[in-house]
Amino acid sequence: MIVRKIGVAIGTLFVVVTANFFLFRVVQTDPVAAVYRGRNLSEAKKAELEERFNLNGSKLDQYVGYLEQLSHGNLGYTLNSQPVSSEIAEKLPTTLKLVGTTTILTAVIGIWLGIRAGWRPRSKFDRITTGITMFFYSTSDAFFGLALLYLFASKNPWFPTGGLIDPNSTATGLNRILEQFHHLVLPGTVLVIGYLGQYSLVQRAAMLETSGEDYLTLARAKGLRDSLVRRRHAVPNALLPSITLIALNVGYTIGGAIIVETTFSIPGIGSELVRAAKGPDYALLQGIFLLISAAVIAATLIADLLYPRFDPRVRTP
Amino acid sequence: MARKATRSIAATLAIAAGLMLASGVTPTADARTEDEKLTFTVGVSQEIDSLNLTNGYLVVDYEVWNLQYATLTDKSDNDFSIKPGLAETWESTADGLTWTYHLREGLLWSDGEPLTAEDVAYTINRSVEEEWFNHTSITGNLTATALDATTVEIVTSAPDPRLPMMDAYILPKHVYENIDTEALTTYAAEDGVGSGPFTLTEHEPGQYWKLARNENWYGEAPAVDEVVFRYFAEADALVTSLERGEVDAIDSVPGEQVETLAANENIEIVQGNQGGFNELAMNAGDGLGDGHAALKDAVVRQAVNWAIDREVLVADVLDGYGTPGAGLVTSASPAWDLVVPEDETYSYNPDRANDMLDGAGYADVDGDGIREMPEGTNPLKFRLNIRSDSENDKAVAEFVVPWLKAIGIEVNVKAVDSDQLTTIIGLGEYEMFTWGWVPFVDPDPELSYFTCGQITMDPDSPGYNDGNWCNAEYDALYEQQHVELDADRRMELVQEMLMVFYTEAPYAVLWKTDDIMAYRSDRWEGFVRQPADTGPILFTNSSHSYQNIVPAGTSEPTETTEADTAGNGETDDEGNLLVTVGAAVLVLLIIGGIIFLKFNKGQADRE
Repeated sequence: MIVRKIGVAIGTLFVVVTANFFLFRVVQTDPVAAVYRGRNLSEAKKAELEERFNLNGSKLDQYVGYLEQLSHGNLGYTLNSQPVSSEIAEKLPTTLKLVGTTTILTAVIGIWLGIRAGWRPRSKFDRITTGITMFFYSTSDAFFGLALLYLFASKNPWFPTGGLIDPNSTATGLNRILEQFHHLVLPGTVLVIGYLGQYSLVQRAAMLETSGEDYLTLARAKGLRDSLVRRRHAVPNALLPSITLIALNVGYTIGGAIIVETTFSIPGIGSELVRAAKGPDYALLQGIFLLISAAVIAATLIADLLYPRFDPRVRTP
Repeated sequence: MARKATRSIAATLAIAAGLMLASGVTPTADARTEDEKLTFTVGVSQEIDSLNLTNGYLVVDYEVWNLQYATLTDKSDNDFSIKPGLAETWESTADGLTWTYHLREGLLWSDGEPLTAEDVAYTINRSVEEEWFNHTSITGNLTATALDATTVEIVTSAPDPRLPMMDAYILPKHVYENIDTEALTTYAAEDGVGSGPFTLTEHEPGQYWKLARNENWYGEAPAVDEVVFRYFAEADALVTSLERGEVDAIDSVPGEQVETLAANENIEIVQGNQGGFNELAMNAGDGLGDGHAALKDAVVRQAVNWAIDREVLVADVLDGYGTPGAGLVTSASPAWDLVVPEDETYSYNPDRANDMLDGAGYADVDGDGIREMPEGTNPLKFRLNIRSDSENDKAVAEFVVPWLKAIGIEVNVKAVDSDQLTTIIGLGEYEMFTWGWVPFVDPDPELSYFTCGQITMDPDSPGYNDGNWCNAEYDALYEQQHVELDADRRMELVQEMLMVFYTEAPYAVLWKTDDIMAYRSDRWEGFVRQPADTGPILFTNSSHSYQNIVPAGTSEPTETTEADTAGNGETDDEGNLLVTVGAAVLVLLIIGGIIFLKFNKGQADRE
């Protein structure tokens, strides 16, 4: 059973790798020409560059070459000749810090809001929180981000305009960490408030569904307090959809928040992806997409394997 | 129950107090004492891709190299003319093929190693051997020999009118000889060993890079201690950072922000040009593809030129921040610009365009408002490709369609990605497109792009001639100027070429594209434009501004260092104060939340 699930995951990853490879090559472009426009490249030098960037031969040859590279754990070279793996390794921690923290915050707050809203649907709490979270969830990150920049960096200069730290800062130790935190308040706000709706809605729906179940009536009939009925009987059963959602989002976390990272000049995987798409830097694009796909697939697999622990109903002999 | 709640509130308050202490009080204290350097911070919209001279290709990379590496000869801020650099004097043999450069005495690299003729010869020869693409356009035909520690002999295999100008970056042999060909391809080049006014000290990828003053530089020491470049991915954030004073200058101002910044008395906007221009290109039909036959006729291309109102484009599309175009621009220096006689200058004259087309037999035979070819078929319907990522292109298309409609030409606009456009041009499947060029200092490369040999005949190895225009007279003149060592004569030849291009009109040059930069005039003065009067202040092909700027209102830079630092400190204080306030608000919210929760819980419990 577990072996089969892992097999499916690996199969999916292979399909994604293949799709990514050909997807980026649908548009006919010549990265070497695009990058070295305006310079005299000899044929020999051009051939050498094409070799290094794996642009030789037919698309199929390139694909085989790419798979061969991958099997050696080599992600190839970016257009400026840096190993893709080290470019990614350099940017990943920032993204993990920002998006990872906000994902946890969003999930915890969102689920909590969803539980309360779903427990008493159409109450004042439900209407207010659902209204607010929906409003921000439907606002685009770019707009929300720019609005915050305008309000809290430009109009009222309370927060920095971007980056992780002021290059002229002399702060060290704890103060440096606090300064970085100061830089991450606005992007973090976009990511947390913007995505609360995702969790609260899913959780609210699950609560609504569960609250009609007979066993809750039974629990109440036994004389349990309402909060206990909710905490012990309703919530555990209603958490399953949210677990799937968290798993998926943990995967996407690796990919960074492209728009937020760009708006606030945060040097993470998301900004790197934007840069790669401009080249187009095939190797870098493929590397980042591979990482994102692998993370999503792995997170889903883990959620899949953990499911039976949370819900005996999915346990199969 | 009640007791428990009180305890957690007390605990939260204690944590809050700790937070406030940590964020509010301590950081400002050391910010004041340590930061006494005079730092000039530039906000940039581009991130370094590679500092390796054999890989990097972005403007921001060049700016670091311009600061870090001195060249044999320097470029005057006035007009890019030759100035002594590492070499103080030079002379040539009568045939102009062998040049001998005499280096300054006692030159040192920033790490203290002596800088000798060996370094120069090593860089030139290795760049030729390994085809370093940023070097070969200069060094491709050269062989260098160090005659002694301060004398280097450079031999060119073909006459080169650019010599004795030698603006190739010279690298430290003692660093690079340890990096072999293979290792060099992936070398990060963050060694910071240089010979220019500033050298790299720190590079935080995706965030910022810093250069410190090089005490071993041969020139007069700049007032600035440190130059910092800070990257912003978002154009509005870049502008905001200048307004707030987080940075002292920015490399680009988006068109819609110009007015706001111009109104700020502390900020000065500089509109500079180094030859960049935008054009409406036409497919003259000498290459591949299915371009319309009418555009093979120079009369039609000229008529298009007469139908365009460049004044309106500059006023409306560029909000006035540009100059109407007059012919191909081939150099960063306006000295090379084409001088067109008044009566031959393309201006907005649709009547003249209509007369020309009537005279050449392009009549509208079927009365649908679109002219046909002289044989009465094949109406003049042109495809115009614009770049989907360019707002300016879209605006231009909106003007061009009705203007050409007025002279009986139908234009169908299609927006494509820049990469796709390159492919479309290579295949020759277009009548017109909009794009731009930024030339080098020497006109040769830009001139070479429009020779017949640069027309794409195999889409797999595209050339630069994107007008598919081949002209024997132009090509012959190109070959002549390519080896003409007499500067005046070469200038005449180039002018002739530009006039041929202008009359044959494969391009309708729309405007000269200005770089719009801005700086804090309340903090800094002494910026140098290159070329004089018309050029930009930063990213100029050399580093004159960085060498010359001083704090505003003084020629004695050190005196104001403290004031400036205090100013910076204040913003920091304010920032930290606000963090504290923010943290306090957050803590209050949490406390409120907890109380609300407990209160609710109590109620629920009672149910």
